[in-house]
Amino acid sequence: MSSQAAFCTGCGVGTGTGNRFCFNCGAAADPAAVVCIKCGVALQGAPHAAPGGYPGAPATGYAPPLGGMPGVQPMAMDYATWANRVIGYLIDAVLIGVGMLIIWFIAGSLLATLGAIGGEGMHGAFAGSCCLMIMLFPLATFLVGLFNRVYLVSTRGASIGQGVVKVKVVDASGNFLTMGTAFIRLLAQAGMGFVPFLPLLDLLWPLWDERRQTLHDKAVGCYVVNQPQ
Amino acid sequence: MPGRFSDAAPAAATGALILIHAGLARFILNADQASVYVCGRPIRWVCSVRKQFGVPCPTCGLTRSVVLALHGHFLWAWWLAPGGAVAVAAGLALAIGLLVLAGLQATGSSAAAPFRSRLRRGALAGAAVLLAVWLGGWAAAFSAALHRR
Repeated sequence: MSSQAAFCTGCGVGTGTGNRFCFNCGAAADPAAVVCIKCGVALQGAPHAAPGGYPGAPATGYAPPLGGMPGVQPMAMDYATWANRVIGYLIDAVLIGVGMLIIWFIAGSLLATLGAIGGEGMHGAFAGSCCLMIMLFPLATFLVGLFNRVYLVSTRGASIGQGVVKVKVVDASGNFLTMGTAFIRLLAQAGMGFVPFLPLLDLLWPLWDERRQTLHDKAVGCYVVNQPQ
Repeated sequence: MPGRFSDAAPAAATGALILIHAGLARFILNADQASVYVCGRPIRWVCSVRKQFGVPCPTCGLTRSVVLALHGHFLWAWWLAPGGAVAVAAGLALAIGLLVLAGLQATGSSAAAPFRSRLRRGALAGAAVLLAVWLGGWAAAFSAALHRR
């Protein structure tokens, strides 16, 4: 089909008359068009974008990850490798460990001091402090996550660990996540921590997923992609 | 439109894993109002906050409450720590919802997308209710313990 054609041969809709552009090739498309007249990509649900990209898209050349979104066709995208994601995850885990140590020292010191005032001393204060130990990991994960996985991810696209391995988190349009979405993603990940082996499955899922998403990525419909070099 | 296994797999795996672990926990663990039993042996841990100050910490009673709820004793569980009963009910509801979603996605049903949206909103509302009930239950137990002192 010629790129100058007035009507699409596939769907019969008039083309190139509106201010809508194909998110794949940038060709002008009619607002009611179902497919692009130039490259044939389905336009259903596609954002009204300027030629050469999509709103807010970083200039990396990757297209918005449309797979998994209702009514939108999947496209190729420069997804981060599983190994890179795990390395970033481990760096973030070290931060959580630091957070755990800080909370442990603060809460432990408080208990020890109050215990000593009460006459039991430090040994008595730490003996059987199961609640503190049980709550330490989720509490540190949540508190560190609020900064690292919500604030940083929504403002610069990557947590500290993800920044080191040059990957970032984007939504279906290629934009950074909103604070709310990043928070729900954190909640989903933290919630999985209460079911044994589910965090492991979550971590391994990108190995066989075609869009290399974890389960908590799927919960909010986001993707982890390589940052431009 | 036919569905795809890869679309349904995440929800199916998550839902199934939650149910499997709930079943395993019900099989291995038991509880009464005093302690939790692992394969019939009681756990004798004492909360250091309760031991030191005579008031419960936020997690006091949660394990017993969850185990009692897994055995179907929701009233006992609620009385002991309301958060545990709500956590089990919410977890089971989420697991069943995820399996239903997986079924809809596997068959390519047009109802899958709206159901997924409702499930997400429900999960968020459930998490908010769980947090409120958990902290509210702890505040009530804390207050009762203070009055007893």
